[in-house]
Amino acid sequence: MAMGINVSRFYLVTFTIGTMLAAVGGALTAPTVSVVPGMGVQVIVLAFAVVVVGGLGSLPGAALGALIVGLVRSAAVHYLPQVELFSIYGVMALVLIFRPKGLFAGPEVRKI
Amino acid sequence: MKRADHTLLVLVAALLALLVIGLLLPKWLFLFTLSLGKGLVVLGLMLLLRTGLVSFGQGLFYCLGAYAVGSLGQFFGIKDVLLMLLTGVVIGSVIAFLLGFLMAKYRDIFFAMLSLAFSMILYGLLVRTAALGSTDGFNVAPPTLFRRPIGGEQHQFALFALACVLAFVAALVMHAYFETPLGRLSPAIRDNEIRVEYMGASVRQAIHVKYVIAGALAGLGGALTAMTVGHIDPDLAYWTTSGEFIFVAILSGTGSVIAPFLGAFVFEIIRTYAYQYSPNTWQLVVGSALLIVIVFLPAGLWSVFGHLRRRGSS
Repeated sequence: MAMGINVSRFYLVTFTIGTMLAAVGGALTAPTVSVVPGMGVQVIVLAFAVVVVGGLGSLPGAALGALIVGLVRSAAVHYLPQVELFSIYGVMALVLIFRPKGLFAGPEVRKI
Repeated sequence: MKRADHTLLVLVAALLALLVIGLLLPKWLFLFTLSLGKGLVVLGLMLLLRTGLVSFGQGLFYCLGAYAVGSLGQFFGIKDVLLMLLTGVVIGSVIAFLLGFLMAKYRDIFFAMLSLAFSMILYGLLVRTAALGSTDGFNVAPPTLFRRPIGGEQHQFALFALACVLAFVAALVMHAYFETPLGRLSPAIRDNEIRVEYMGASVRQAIHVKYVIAGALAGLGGALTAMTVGHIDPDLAYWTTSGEFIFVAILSGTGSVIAPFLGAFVFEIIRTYAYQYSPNTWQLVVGSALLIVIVFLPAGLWSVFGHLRRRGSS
């Protein structure tokens, strides 16, 4: 605010862009799956997993994270169906254990 | 001036009122006992929320507590209620202690997602374990207290009374804990970690301790729920269960140790009635209720009492 930036408008624009992208993602996915009212529930957790694997605020991270999560899931379904249920979460835990801020973590802002 | 603390008084009154209500409304006992179990988990979650950490995986300890109780009865033939509850607490705190070494390094969304990952891994393992009933889970034998049956259809009040006492003690201990130096570190860590370190306190250690307390409470809640419901399945560790605890925590607010129990009651009542009167759209009702609370009471249901008190004193 002190720098002349309207914070609430900034939030509004950010939220709008984010929501728009989510809607586009849904529209692109719809032809490949059957559309059901609860289909958004799974995506919430998957989206968080992708972002955490990639690193907050990093575009290459989000892209790579999405690729990793998607491929791991498909590979698990095909080769190791026993671990399919938690494969994504296992990968997420592994990434976080070795890269606590995700693969492409940006510089950290510290408030003192 | 220090505001007079009526929490102890309110807690004693609530305990007595609950016991009387339980005697008068035997049909509600199941719902009440279940809410008390969930309230215990949310109490632990509240401690983490006060520290600025959102655990999206309290279902892990909830499920561990429930499965510990179930396994004791199923494989060892132990049915003593106190021993079962103790096992739930011990297993919750031991696993939380071990995971805590790792968890204490993480903050914000990374803390939330790592805790979620662990609970989902447990879910995946349980679903694949045929000895523990896979997706169906198994039934929990009705427990006994000093060789007398407790819980089940006929003895529901005894289990409810025990749950009331447990919740009372837990709330009292947590209330006292919030006033200790370690308890007061919670809001400090949430506001500014680096200053806490400058003060000479170890943030990591403090978070570790809080994580173990939350794990123990979730284990206790899970043990209680297993005995109340009489059946356990892997869904207890699924992320929607953990999400429900966060939902209740937001609904109740972090203002007081009584808030989680109040929130759990309100949540269970809303859900039960919504399910009864609109079976197909109950999520709509529950979601709207949360939306209304967030819009009108951003600090949770508990803030109603703060408003009333301020209005009364002015």
